[in-house]
Amino acid sequence: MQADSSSYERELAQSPSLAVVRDIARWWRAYQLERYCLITSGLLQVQGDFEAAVADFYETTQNVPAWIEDAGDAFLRFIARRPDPVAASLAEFEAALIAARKGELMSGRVIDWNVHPYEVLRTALSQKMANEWTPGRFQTLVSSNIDGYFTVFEMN
Amino acid sequence: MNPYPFIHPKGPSLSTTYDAHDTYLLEGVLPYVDFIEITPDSIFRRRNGISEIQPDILKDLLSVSRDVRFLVHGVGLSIGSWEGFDASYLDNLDLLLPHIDCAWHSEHLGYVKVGGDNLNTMLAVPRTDAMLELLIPRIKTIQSKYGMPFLLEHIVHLLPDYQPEYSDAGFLNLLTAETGCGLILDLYNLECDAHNYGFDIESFLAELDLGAVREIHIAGGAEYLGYKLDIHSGKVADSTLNWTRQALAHTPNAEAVTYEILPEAVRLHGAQFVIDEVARISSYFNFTKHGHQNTSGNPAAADQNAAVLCAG
Repeated sequence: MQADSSSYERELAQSPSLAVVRDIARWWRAYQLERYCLITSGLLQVQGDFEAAVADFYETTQNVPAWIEDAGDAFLRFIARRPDPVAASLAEFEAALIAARKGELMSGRVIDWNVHPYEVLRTALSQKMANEWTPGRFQTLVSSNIDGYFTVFEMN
Repeated sequence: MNPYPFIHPKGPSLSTTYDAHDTYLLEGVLPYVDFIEITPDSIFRRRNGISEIQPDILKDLLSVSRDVRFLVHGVGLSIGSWEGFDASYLDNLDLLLPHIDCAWHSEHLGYVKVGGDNLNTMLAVPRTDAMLELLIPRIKTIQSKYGMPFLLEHIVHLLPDYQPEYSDAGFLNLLTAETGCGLILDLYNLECDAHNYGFDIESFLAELDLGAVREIHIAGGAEYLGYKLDIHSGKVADSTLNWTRQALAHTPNAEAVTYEILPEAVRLHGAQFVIDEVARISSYFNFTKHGHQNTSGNPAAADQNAAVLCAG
């Protein structure tokens, strides 16, 4: 049985359709995350990092949930832990925004930024990279109780 | 004696997918269909870690519940996973079924999870005795839990088969004979297999117990790297319609022909594309809408549900 299994594994590894199956899985993962985490995905795409980030997420996260709401939230937490501080702030912000829109964030969540949040949002949503973002200390307060769900504060 | 207790005297009706809130689409297809296919995995959402039916979609379904019956067709059960099927899929069925008049429910004969990891694609099960030992009790468990017909759909084989002990049709025949479950015959899936590795559709149909077929699926897809993909993204090809016409002549218990299209494709093409395609298929087969008397459902409950949802 062992010999049979390893011969099947060799056949499978050499099958050109294995690459097709892997591509299908990659498409679905990227497509679902792109739709759920629209803003963060937009920034990562502008930065040319989206596909790598999705692959990295699935490779390093055990038992990614099937539900896009759960998988999407886990993806945003994953991006929030990465070294890029702007993408991390945006991912935290988007996770809070999603919760606020569902009415699940009554108390509010504060997110720190080292560049102007509006400029980052504009980049992510327009899919056009800004020459540079204005540096500074900013905070966003995200809450279900705020009209439009968030407010930006400049902390200087 | 016919062993399948679901002969429909009026012959097959048309059905199509409805998985995203779009009343224009729903109203547009309604004159042509007697069934609406819904996928729990698509119409449920998660809130605070709990699954719930999207209220706008449930409201849509209830609004047409006197005119159609529903076919619940899942993708997330993963009935072929070694570690067991996904019980959370059945939890969703438990939430959904009391709301709707469901004619039968169905799943794919495949698996989407391995060791708890979601594959984000669906793979075919090995056709072996060991697999039959896993599948048969699982099918029986589902049948006894819901007391309504349960159908399985054969899926495309993109990967090489693992040491098959049965032919494709022979394996399905054993499953239906052992459990009494019905089959979904997906002619587009068969065409994908024929295109991708020379699968012999005629031999498959000649060997399959076509009396077990209660529903036929048709769809249109796309090619990628020379492979025909089962992606439900477009119009039904003439070849698929021809195969369906041939199959219908030999499937006396087929009650529904379902044109499947993904919600993503509806967003891409627009609702009118789907309505036109449903009308074209209806005309091709000369289907007539049978109409539906909601006898097995509970119209009063449906009205009450609708009222609650509207108020909410």
